Amino acid sequence: MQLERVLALLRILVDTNKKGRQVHESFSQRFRGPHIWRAPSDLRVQGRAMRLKWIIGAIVMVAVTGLALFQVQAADAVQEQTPGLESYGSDTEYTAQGTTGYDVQPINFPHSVHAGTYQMDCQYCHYSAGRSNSAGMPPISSCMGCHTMVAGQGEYNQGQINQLREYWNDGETIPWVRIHKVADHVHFPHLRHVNAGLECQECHGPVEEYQNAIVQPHPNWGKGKMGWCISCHVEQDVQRDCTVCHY
Amino acid sequence: MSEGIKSKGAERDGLQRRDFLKVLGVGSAGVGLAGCSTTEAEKLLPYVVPPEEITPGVSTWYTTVCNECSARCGMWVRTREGRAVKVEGNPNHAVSGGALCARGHSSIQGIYSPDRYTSPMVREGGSLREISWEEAESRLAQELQGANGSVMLVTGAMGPTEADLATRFLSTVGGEHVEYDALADAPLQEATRIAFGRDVIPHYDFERADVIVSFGADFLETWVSPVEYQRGFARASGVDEEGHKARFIFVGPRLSLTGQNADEWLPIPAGTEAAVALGMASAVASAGGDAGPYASILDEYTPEAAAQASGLEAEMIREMATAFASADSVAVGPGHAGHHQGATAANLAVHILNAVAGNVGQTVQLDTAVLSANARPYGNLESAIQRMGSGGAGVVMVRGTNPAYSLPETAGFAQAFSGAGFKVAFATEPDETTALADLVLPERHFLESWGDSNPRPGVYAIQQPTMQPVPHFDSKAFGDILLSVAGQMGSPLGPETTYDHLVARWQELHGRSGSELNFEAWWKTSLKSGAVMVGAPTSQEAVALQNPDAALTFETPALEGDGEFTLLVYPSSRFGDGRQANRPWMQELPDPVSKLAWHSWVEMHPDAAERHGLRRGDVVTVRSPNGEVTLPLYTYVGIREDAVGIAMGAGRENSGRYANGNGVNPIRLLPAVAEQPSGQLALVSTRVSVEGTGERYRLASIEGSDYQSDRNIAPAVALSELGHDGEEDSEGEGYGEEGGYEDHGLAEMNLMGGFQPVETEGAAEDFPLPGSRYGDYGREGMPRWAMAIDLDKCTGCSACVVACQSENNVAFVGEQQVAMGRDLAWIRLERYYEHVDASHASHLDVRHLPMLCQHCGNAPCEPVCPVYAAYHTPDGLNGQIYNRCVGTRYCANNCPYKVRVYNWYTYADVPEPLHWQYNPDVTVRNTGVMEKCSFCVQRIREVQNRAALEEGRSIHDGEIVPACQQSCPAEAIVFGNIRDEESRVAELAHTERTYRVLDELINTQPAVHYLKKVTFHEVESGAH
Repeated sequence: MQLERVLALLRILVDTNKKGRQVHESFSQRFRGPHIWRAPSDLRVQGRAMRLKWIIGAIVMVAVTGLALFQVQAADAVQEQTPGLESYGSDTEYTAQGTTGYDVQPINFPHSVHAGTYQMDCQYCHYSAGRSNSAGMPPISSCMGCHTMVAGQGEYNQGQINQLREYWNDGETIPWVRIHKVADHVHFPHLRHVNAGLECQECHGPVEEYQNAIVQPHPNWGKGKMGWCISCHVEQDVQRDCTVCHY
Repeated sequence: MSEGIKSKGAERDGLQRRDFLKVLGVGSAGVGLAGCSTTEAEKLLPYVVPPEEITPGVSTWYTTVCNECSARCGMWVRTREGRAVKVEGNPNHAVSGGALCARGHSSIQGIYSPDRYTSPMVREGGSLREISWEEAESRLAQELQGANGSVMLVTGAMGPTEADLATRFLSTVGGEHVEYDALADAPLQEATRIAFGRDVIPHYDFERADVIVSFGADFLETWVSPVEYQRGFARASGVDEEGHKARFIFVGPRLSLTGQNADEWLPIPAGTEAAVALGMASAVASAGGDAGPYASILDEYTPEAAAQASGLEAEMIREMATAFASADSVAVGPGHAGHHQGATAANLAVHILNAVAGNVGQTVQLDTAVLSANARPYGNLESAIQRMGSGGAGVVMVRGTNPAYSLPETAGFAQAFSGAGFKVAFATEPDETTALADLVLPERHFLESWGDSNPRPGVYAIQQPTMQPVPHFDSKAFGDILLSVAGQMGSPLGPETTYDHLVARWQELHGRSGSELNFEAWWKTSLKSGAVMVGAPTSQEAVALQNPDAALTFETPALEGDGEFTLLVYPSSRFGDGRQANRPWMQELPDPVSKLAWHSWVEMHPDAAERHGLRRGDVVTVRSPNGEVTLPLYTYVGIREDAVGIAMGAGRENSGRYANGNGVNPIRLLPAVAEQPSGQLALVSTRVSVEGTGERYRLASIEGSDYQSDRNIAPAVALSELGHDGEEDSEGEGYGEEGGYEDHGLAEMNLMGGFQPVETEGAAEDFPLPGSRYGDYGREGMPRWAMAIDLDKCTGCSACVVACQSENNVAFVGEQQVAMGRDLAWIRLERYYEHVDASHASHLDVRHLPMLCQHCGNAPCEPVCPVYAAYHTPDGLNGQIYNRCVGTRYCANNCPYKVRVYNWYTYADVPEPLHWQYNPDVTVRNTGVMEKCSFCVQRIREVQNRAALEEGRSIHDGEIVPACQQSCPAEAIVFGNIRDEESRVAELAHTERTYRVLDELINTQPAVHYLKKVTFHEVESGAH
């Protein structure tokens, strides 16, 4: 089934490509003469290269479609074997401890302490989730609201908090690595979801249990794909119009 | 979506279809990445300390003052995460009243211009070297000390606080202040002084006028205060419910955009404006008007004398005079396009006309004069140039003006300036003048700096920085440079910073305001509203004409040279005098008159061209005694046969990348003659010959034709026919029984085979259409978004086009791509000539029509899309889903309105930091994607989200304002939910004048409703 659809798409693409070339040729014939307009050479080269790229791309595509489909399916399995994702208890494969070598995040932030042990509200730190498209990352001043006083328990945690204080003292921001990201052509309004009573965990997983910094999305996140969004929108019987998110 | 200043997403939109193919194309690489994640790690950078007013993902608005011309409109600047992304008019401001012109919108490309100076530079051995601010300032201080008071500061218009700092600076270090602005209207100011004893630029109240006569003043585009005047004009000339409409007569040799909006055109030769104005005044005076000390002059300049000078008929001048005197009226002019060597006299003649008709103190207001547009003519600079040249200036500093470009070569500025001891340029971007400087001091852009404005007596506005200075450019505010240099010279000016000085001055103003608030609170309120009124005049004095203190002749001035054509040089409605030339939006914006982008052209009447064997697109050489320029010919019916016209502002050298090398500078053809007594550079002072070179040029034009060819795209209705319908069309569509396709093309088309339009079923709000095959749209309670555009108000100014580009991340494509028809603008301002006659006075009929996606209820683009990228949304939008689009372009081929545009290349890749202009709420499109007007769906969603937050309240009419409507100075556009019977748009969809383009032919059921233009003359057959 999938293969058929890919081939049908391919046929459309090849047709379009031919048509585009015809238009291009008749166009340059029309304007031949001393005052002919010529595409700047770099654009023309690019145009030719683009067509070439399409054709090569199409051939390669056919050749690897089967392989790729297989590989996409195998992707999850590949991920599980990625080093540095040893288990640290519940859900920890989505989080990592800074000392294990999986050094993705600048600070090994434990959501479990903040959202779990101390029951802090998510929106205390992600302060704009309820009123903006963007959830908001806590400014360093928010962290320091507590961590000026709270130094943490244990050498490891104290070390991490000292790191935070260093950022603060240097007046620098923390370069968190972005884990959850929808594509740039998607406009996801946090505010609508938060105000509809959706729990953060429904997309982001049991964040309050994450003992370490987040390094990859929880399966709840559904790889950020549209089908995952839509399935929920179908269940909830809410808007599924394209321009709700795509514009 | 993202935090702080980062987002590589602004550069690319990362279309996943493409990425998917890439993944497949390279086999195994990249497999294992989640569907929507990017390949490289993106950083989330939170604020260290969050600015109080910023919520990530939510816009913060600041008020400030537009500095693009001397009108000084109030501005609202939309910022996201600390970046200015869009400018809009400030509705609280007395001048702009919520709208903004195209040039104002382009200021966002000024702040992010990739050509801005990155650091101070000093000339060493012929080339500029980057230096530090300390070094630059100490060098300037040292040179100033050495100059011993022989200092000259040449500036354009400045705000009052800046001007005060400059004055203090000059009185401390010694030196003189020379003001020069190429777009000043000194003849008007001088004539006002002579006529009324007030040395001001009067303010004109177009809104109150029933008869408007312009003797060449382009008040809709470049003259004095275009946004405000356009609003007033549109309110007067747009027909109201009582069928009342002001009549506009344009008198002059060339139809500017302003001229095209007239109801009658009197195509008189350049220089005869004074005769016609006096002829009219004479007729009014003989019927009882009081001409005061000018009575004897009016005895001489009778309508007959005027007729002889101008080639008009005396009877017509009398008729016009009667109409003018018997209604609320206003006469303006001659404006920049009429700056010939008798410009002051011509302005005086117009003042006399206004005075005898009793307009002074009514529509001509001297008590609310336009202070910000005070005259700074070439005459000011003329003597300064002589002193510079004779070694009389040790240090010359230039700021906010570009005399090396805007003056004729024979004025000798470049030479004299080069000869000055030490040349300093304060500038944001390079230009012809800064190229000559020894020291370049990069100034802050006005969106980054403090200042203020006082555009009218009693109207004050604060210009506040809307964002942190763009970090790419090591800039410093003009005032701060002066303060710091004065400090280094051991004579501090008092305040520490411009801001301190501003606050001190406003504290004084607060004292005068009589406000009950303390200063802090008052300052905050002022910042928030953007403008305050302190002691604004409440009434207008009817000033009487005074005895003239200057001997002026009203004769037609002689022109230099013996060429066949009078050369008309006029400010460009896109670049002004050239100051907006390095804005790609402005370069790409088709000129509202010629519809040409990027390059220059010379306008010539088609009959004259035919006589010379020339046609549109021929490259011609225009030769005057002062020089020659070679450029393509544009045949234009709106110019006299004995004249040719070239716009100012192009032909820039040593400027930014988008300005350099585009077009020619017509100032090069002019002699350096200052009009007397005002000192204005005479723009109409030479005759030229035009000669074909035998070559042709591919014009970068967006229009297919100057004429509608009976296609009824922009129909009109005569005023006399309005209101006689009795019963309106039950559908509210207002199609007349006669005219239209029923009469014209349809029978013919049917004969040709099988073309049968479907009968229009239902009105716009009947949606979905009965029998629609587009599924379950328009569920109960869903809106249908629709728009109404009043063509009787629309002037064709094109502010909406640029506002849309700014809001929707519409890319610019460059001259060659425009010439190939690949421009991406979502709004195309169509302009059609119905009746334009340059040979004699007659009625004028030019139609302007903003064409955008019509969001058809029965859209031809939708069924042809193989991937459902074009589809209909439940709220009646014609959606275009970029990530679905595979670029077949079938939709564009099937669109009868030609509003769909295609990204042939990734035009959106613009040099750093120009991409900072992008609106984060709108996807940036790249190669292979079709795009078009979305009705600003991002604004619809934003309002819906906000309404949902507030307990799911309903959206009230007028809450959603698309960018085009927001910026329209003529208030011609209304957007809303047509299913809401109470809404403005529903009301406008049911007027007698309402029609929908091509709907009767192809049954597209557009959501855009146009209201026909109203004419005073009978509408000719086929144009109804």
